[in-house]
Amino acid sequence: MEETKSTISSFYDYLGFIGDETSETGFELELPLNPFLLQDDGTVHPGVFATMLDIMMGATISRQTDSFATTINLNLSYFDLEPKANYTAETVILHRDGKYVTADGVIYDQNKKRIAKATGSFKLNPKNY
Amino acid sequence: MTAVENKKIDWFDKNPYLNHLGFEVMVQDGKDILVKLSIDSRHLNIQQNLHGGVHASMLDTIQSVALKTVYKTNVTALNLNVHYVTGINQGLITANARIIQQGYKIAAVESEIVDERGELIAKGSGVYKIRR
Repeated sequence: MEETKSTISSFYDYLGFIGDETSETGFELELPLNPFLLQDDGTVHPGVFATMLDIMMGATISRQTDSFATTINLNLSYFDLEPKANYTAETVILHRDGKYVTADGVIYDQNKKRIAKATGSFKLNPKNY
Repeated sequence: MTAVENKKIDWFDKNPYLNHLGFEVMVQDGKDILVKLSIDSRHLNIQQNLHGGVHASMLDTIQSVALKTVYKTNVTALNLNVHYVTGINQGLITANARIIQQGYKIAAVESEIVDERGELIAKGSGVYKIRR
């Protein structure tokens, strides 16, 4: 369950994600292709893209609502698991109803080709400082 | 479940991502295939709960293992749906899968992750292309 603050989680670091929270357009996320992201058949493990989309959607919701976003459901479609040089992700918040948010996320390769897409449902929890 | 035989699947150890995350695969009682993970700090999110990407990775892994065992060839994920049921941040979790549709080129699988007490942590389902 991704619950995102303005800082970074252990798993995020462990997979090698690079985030930019200073972007004017919102949180930006990149993933360089590391050998440990691959499977024995040479393709990228689908879980890598699930992780990237979960992080990206959670972070975007968190920034826009000033709350933690807990993932309730993720529905992922994979279009191309062949390794690419690097990946970027974009998110759009589709709907908010009180504590519940629905968002879309898409991952692109370095040529802007669509690699994976997710729709997620998230529950908002107020930040406790 | 009593383990009569705990045998590893050979190709699993050659998969860099699965090794990086610390997944282990076991064949139990000579037929039940399970993926196990001992949760540690590298698997956690900023709230110190198991990161949603770990659940998704584990569910996809057990679903792929189940299909590869039956079809004896590689498979490619087309879709994965994950329901996050219960938060967890330590201990041993186990994933199992069941093939619900076994076609010539497409197969559908469902899976779940449970903790050591058998409590449901996450539920998944996916559609896979069989690489023939």
